[in-house]
Amino acid sequence: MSTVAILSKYVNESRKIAEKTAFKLGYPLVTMTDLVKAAAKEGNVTESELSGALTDITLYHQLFRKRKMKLVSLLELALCGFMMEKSIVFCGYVGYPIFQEISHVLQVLVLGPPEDAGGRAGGKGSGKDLLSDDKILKWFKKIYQADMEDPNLYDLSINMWHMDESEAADIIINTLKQPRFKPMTYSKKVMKDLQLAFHIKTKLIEKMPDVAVKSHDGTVYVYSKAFKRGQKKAAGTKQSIMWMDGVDYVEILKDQKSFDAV
Amino acid sequence: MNSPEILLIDDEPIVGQRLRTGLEKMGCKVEVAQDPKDALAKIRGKRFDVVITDIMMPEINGIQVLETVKEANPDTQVIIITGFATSELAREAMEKGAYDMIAKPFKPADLRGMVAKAANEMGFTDIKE
Amino acid sequence: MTPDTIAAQGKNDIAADEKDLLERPVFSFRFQIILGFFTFFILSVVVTVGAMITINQIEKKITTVQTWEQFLFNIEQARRWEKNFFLYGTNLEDALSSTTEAQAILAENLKKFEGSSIPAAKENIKKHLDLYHGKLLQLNQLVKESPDHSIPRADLIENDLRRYGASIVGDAADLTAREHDLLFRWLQLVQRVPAYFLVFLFFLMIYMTRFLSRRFMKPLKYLVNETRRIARGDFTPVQPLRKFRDEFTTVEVAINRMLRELESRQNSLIESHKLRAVGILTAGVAHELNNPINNIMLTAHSMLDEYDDLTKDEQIDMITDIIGETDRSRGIVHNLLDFTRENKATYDAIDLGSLVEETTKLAKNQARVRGIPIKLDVQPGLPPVLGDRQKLKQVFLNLIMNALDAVGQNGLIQVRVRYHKLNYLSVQIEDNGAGIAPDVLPHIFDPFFTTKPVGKGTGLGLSVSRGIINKHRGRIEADSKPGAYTIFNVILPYYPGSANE
Ligand SMILES: Nc1ncnc2c1ncn2[C@@H]1O[C@H](COP(=O)(O)OP(=O)(O)OP(=O)(O)O)[C@@H](O)[C@H]1O
Ligand SMILES: [Mg+2]
Repeated sequence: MSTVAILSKYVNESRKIAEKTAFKLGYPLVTMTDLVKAAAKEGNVTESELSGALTDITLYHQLFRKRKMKLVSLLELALCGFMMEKSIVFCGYVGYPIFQEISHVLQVLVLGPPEDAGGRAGGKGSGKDLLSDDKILKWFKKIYQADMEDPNLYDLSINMWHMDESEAADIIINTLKQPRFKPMTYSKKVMKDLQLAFHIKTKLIEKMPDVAVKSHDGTVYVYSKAFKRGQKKAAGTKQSIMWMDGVDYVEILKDQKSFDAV
Repeated sequence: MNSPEILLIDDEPIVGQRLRTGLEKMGCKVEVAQDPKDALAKIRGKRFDVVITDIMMPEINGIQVLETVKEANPDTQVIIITGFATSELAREAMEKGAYDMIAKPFKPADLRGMVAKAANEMGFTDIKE
Repeated sequence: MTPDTIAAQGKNDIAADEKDLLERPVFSFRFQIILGFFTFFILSVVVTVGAMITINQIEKKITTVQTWEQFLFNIEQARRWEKNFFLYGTNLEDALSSTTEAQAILAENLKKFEGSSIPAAKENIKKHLDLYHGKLLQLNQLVKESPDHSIPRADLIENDLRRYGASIVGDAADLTAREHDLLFRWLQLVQRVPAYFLVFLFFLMIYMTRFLSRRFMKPLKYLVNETRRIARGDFTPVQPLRKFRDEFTTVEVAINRMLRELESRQNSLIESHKLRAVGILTAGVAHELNNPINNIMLTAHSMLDEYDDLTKDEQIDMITDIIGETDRSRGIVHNLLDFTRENKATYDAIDLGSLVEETTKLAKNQARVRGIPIKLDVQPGLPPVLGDRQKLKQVFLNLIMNALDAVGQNGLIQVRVRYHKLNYLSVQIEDNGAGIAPDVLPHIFDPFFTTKPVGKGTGLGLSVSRGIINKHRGRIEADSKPGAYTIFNVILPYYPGSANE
């Protein structure tokens, strides 16, 4: 269950690299469209609503932030599902918090030329990969408060203007051969914990948009500012997730520091 | 038929005591070391098939053990157990040639499974969990 | 120093303190200055009035002397006439009139002279004058009775006249001279008094200046010293210098108010820095707990898997292990909780060695993660120190965490607790890390001074620690050789009552 995650604002180009990589590795390619489909089935929402959450960065969606957060969380949960199931090559722009946690994810950033030298093949996504170009960066920033093109966040950055897809795919595959990207019991466990955490987060996020969830071997830690306001909210939350599959014990945390510490 | 030789290093004596019986029942020969210095001496003196080591130990840490093992015998598989698991540590351990890593607390069966898998891959086909 | 005197600075005491200060009798500097100037004024009035009176007296004296001179002139005139009479038989009338004149002067002024002139002699003069006059009258009578100018016993009368005349003149001259003398002396006095007064005034002014300035300077100096003490972080209220209340009392009250404010700010700073440390420690403790939990998990699972194969002794062993490891977990958590607990700022007698040991345990996990040994060396049999457990732990923790941040590969931290000079104990925290450059060293205790990246260091650790140690009447010293070592030395007074136990 290795994972290659390819992130880029150049939708078409990165997609081609991903396809090539997946083909050479023999792994399935997972795109944003696949995530939308899976999430729609899992979360009982329409595909168009999900796509909306992935594309819209306008005021309208700012107003419905809670809903949007839930949809994003659903997509991430779907991504966890794919990652748990088998080795994949992912190409898209969600899942940043998952990749940061898991040691066996090879994170690849695909970059263009320093100046936007124009003449790029089909600026607007010809595939159905939703957002394109700079809008992706904005969306990423809004949702994850991070700069998607910050190379420090990645294991590998590829400048596709210097090579074709095949070469890029070879570089990715060679990098993946490094032992550090090998899945192991520990990273698989973390993956499992993450999946459970996202499951719970998806459930709670509409009520508490700032909710944060961690899970360790069935012990679930939940944090939200809302818990400070009343015991009732905490108790209700505990009740609602206590009986979920894989949850042994629920710990409600009222302050950020203790949450960060666990 | 021969059985895999295992060295188990942890400064917590209980870890050695509890895991030993289970591993022996699986058909392994188990040596336990509490002092990582003794362990390093053993590793240099003898070939083990699997070395299981804790990371945080006084004076010598598990990564140093891993390096010594890989130096002494690159075929030996090293399983890392640690109370302080991070994805950086995981990557470092894997890069240095660890076979697998598991975070404390774990169940004895989890570790037995890992050892069995490693042993099987090394050709000890009759080792079952 | 008893525990109470240091610790008992609760709000009530401070309010009482303030009340005590404000309830003292008022003796303000304004009043003192007014008093000083008033004294000057009174003195001047006395001197001026004195001078006026004296001048008045002199004036009178001058008239007296003039009158006497007039008198003397008349008498001398009379005697000349009288002499003429005896020589030439003329002028007797003139002599008589001069004498009468003199008599009139004397009669007119005798009363007045009573107060202003020298006593004595005057009665004599009057008597002799009357006698003189009588003789002259007698002579006149005789002259009228004997037209031939032969006067019987004339030489007898002449003798008497001579005698009386001489006596009057002698006495009057003498008197006049003496009056003159007196006048002269008074004049001299009037001349000298202002000079004396000026000299006196000069010295008085010097004295007043010194007195007042000492009154000002002493409390000023005292306050300057107090601010120095406060700057070192000792926030005990300023004690008034004087029993009464003056302008400095207002300043003292204001300073004490400021001190309370400072103290509460510092306390919240200490508290927030502590919380940060707790945050860091919690992560470590969570990981440290993994060991005993793992032991419990392994043991419990082993029991579950092999229950039927275990002998009774083995079972007991395992259960004992589980109990032991639970205790160990509790110990780990307890140590942190003890440090985290809300602080009531109590001062107890503390065994510094075990306090430092507990603190090293707190930091142990951080150290283990980094693979850095902490060596602890406590001199046995040290007397206790008086202090706030948590705050002192916080100080040592800050120093150990700084040392941990400073060391790299092959890092070593040595902690020593031992006797220092005199009545002091010292805790030394030495690391073999990067060290502190000499130009940085003077700044490390400044608040917000840090060389660590944003998010890693707040630069408050040492400043807060120094504040805490100063409150304990101790000090922190830093010594470093870049690339070789850094030593932080915390010096604390031990509890004097227990020195010889
Ligand atoms: N043992 C040490 N070795 C080298 N430098 C030190 C040591 N202790 C302190 N310093 C220097 O002194 C500075 C101030 O220390 P201080 O503890 O006040 O703040 P900090 O450690 O930067 O932040 P914080 O304590 O809030 O984490 C540090 O940034 C560091 O440069
Ligand atoms: Mg510090």
